[in-house]
Amino acid sequence: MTQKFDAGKLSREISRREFLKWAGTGAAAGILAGCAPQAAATPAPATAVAEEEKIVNVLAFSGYEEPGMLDSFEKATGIKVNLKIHDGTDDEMIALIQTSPAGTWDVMTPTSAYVPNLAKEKQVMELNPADLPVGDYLKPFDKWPTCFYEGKMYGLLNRFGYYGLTYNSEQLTAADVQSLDILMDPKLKGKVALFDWFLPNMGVVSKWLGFNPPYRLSADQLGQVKEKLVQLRPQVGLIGSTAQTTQALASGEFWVAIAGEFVQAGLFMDGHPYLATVPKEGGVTWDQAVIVLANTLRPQNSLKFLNYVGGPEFQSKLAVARAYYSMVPNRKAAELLTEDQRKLLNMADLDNLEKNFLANLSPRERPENIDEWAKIWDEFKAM
Amino acid sequence: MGSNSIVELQDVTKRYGESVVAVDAINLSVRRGEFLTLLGPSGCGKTTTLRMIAGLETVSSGKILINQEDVTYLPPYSRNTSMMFQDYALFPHMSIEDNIAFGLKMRRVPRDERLKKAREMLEFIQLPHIAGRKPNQLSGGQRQRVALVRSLILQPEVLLLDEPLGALDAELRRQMQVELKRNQQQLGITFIYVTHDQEEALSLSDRIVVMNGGRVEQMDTPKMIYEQPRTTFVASFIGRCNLRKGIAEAKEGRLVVFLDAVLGKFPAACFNGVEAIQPGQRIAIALRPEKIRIGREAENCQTKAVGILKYTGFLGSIVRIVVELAPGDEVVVESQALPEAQVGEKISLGWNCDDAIVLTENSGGDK
Amino acid sequence: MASILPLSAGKSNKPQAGGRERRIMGNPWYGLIPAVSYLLFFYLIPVVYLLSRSFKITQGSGIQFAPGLTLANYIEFFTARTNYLAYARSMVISILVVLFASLIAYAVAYTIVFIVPKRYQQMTLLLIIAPFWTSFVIRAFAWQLLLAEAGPVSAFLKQVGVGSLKILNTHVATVIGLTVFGVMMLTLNLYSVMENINPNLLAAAADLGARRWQTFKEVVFPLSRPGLLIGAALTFIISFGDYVVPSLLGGGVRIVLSQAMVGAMTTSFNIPRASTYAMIMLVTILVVTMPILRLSRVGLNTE
Repeated sequence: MTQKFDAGKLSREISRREFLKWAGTGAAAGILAGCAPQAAATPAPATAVAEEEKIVNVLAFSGYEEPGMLDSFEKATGIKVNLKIHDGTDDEMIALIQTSPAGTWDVMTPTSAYVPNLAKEKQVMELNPADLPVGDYLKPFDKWPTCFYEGKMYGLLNRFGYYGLTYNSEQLTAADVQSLDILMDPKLKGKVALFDWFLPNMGVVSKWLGFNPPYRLSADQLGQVKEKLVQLRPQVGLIGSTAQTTQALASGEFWVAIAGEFVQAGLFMDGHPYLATVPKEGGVTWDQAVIVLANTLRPQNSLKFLNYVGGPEFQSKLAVARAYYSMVPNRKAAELLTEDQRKLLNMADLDNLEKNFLANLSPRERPENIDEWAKIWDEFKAM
Repeated sequence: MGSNSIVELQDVTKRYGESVVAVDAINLSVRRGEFLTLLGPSGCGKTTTLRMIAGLETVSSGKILINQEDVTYLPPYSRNTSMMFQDYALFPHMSIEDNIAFGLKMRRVPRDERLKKAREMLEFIQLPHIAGRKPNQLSGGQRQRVALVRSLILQPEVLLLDEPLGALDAELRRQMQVELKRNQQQLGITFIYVTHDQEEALSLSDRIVVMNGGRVEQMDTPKMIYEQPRTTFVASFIGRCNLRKGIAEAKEGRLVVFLDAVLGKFPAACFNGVEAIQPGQRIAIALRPEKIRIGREAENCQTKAVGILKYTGFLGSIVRIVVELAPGDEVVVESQALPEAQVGEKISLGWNCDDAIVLTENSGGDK
Repeated sequence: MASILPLSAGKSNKPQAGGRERRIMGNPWYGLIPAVSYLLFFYLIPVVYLLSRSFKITQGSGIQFAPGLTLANYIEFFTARTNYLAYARSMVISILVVLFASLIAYAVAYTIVFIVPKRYQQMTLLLIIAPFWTSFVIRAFAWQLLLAEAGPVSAFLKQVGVGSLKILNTHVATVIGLTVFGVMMLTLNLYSVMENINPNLLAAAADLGARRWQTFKEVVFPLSRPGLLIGAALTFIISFGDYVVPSLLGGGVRIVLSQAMVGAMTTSFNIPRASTYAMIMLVTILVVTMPILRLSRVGLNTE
């Protein structure tokens, strides 16, 4: 859906927003309280329809809040970013958006797998690739399938990483981890750690079984995934949070995890002998896309923000955020990183990265029968 | 202190830490079958003494004998004594009959037998209907009776009672005093009774031990304690008393010539244990208010004085009079009749030399 | 007693004062309004909400529900073997925790009240409950470090010749973590009941011929039983419902009921399914703790 210019609707929205601001109740008011001084500076909303209030309300996963991330954007545009960091899942993030009054949020950063569904429900604003720095993006992220719906673009990829194998290089060799079959090796009994998030794990298992694309499976194929998980079960000693898994690997009690650079980079920097690879069966990505909500009151500010977020400066900062390291899709960002950082993030040789690495990865999608997938995972954990 | 004594304390001392002496080398001999009261203000060491006899408190030094047998280091359950507590210490989670039968249960008496015994006890105190109740369903008097028979069920030779009537109101208290005394006489058990109530002590006891600051001030019959107090503490703690301080000018037999700053010289009497008075020594004498005569009756007395009537109070059976001998120096008198003099007028006082009792300041020397 | 109860005295002596009396009798109920509304808003309404959601199924992205009521969630719960496993684990873990914590806390509280000198009691109690001052989560993380294979507990076990044991990421660690919490909870409860035992009762028991252990069996234990039972019930409630300790120490494999419930939210974003777990948890806790709490009042009836 395109954001139509409808003065009547806009003023209705504004008056509702104003009302909420003055009413000062509920979560929305709490969030809006932060921008009250700016709102007071533009006291006549009815005549200000063409000119947006100089703010943008962003709901993002962690990383954005770190010092220096948004300063140059605010300075250059004069737009104040009201940032709320969301520490939960995509589902919770979307539930939060859907239960907030229209206009509360302008921009958010869900996993791109959620974008097509949100587009289908007309909750996201359509984007024009020509307005955005996708020309600088690594392939295939310039045309990342999950950022599109019915051929139209709705999301801008922002950062990504992969789920392959993160392994202890003192216990396992590069040859060992050529194939996912190593996970079944008797010497890894109880030494495999998994993140408690079913989609990437099951996606990797799906690729292990040779299913491509990994998230569009028949009932029979999904049954095979379940069977493979049951076989894997005795090998798994931990299913935990990111922090727990990282700590488990660092302690040396666990040797391998279905994970990529986002765990390995941190462990490596702390001096633990961990390397990450995409095995021959392939892997899946994790990612975050920036989207503009369909009911935004500030589409122009939001687009400016997307441009900044996709640009090399922010991308290079986000790549080495303290929260966690990640790969970023903008090629030019690599130039702004140090040599060590590029190496650590596998971004030293971008052509090679595109050809040999990214080609082997499938986007993490949201399966049609996601409930079936979730149920299998819950059963797997309870076994 | 022959075989007649059932409990004997020899130089028994209780110290807490280095500096606090709760009981200071006391000696006591309790006769078989007597009602002995330990009387004193709170903190005088009477309860500690009682608990040492029971074995509930360790002895710092000295010896405790029961039936001539050294029990100083025996646990409570190996002594033939039983204790009744001020708050009765009935077990709140047990029925009354279980409370009473507790001692028998500890001696492994079969259940039927001990409950039968408990019911007999309840008959004895005329409360057979409360057997199944819990302690908090009883009145204060009922609890007191239950506590008594719970202690008696093991047929102790000595019953130790720690202010057992302290929690009751005045009316009930008088009633229970009579009942306790009757029970004691019927059963023939030795009672060692702790109280801070001098009236209670005087009316119940065969003998009273007055304690102060961890020491025994005097041990005697109630009559002797009242009429012939030996120390200023005993004289002032038991009954009302006019204390006068002065100097012993001369001594002849048990009579002392007492020099009073206001009244001049007059004779006073020494009783048990106070004979060792030296002429020139500072002493005190006690004058009981009811022993002082007034008006015409005073004329026949051995010692006479004159003062100004300050106050007359009619108390029913007696009249209380305050007489000023000198500014700031007053004497209280209790008379049967109203004085003839009016307030503000002169009044004559008089007493006999046996009613002016010579006291020592300190206790001790009661061996 | 009658003298301090003017109402009952008034009733028997002055029947004509009935109207006034009724007003006096009626008044105390107004005082219950804050408590009742508190319970209503913070307990009853959420529980009713959960109960009603457990009879729904989701539609679309998860926050909408299909119309009508259904038993599907309950049927699903009772037909999956993995649910029985999770339930059984929660139950076994909670029972073990209550057992261990009761034994340890009893010894601790008894020592504080009857053995530690009076002037050190407060300090000792404070030291024992000091871990309460930090957050539950932080403590669980600390136990992670202690129980890790490279941690001090493991080192100690190796030292004494037990050998290398895997504790962290198993439910042995869950039981340890919850027991530590339960010990604090129970110690507090037991301390307060034991502290309230009139010392004369112990003296009376000794005086009537009870040896030390008999005094314990006949007097101390029955009088501290309410504290033990209430503490045990609270410990059970916390152990059965806790999510943090089994997740951080238990390893997330072989999950317990609370983890299944959270999983229903985080993995599937299925509020009805999570509500069903919550209701089953609630019913279990009620069924287990109500008799315990009732038992705690036996022997102390004040009627």
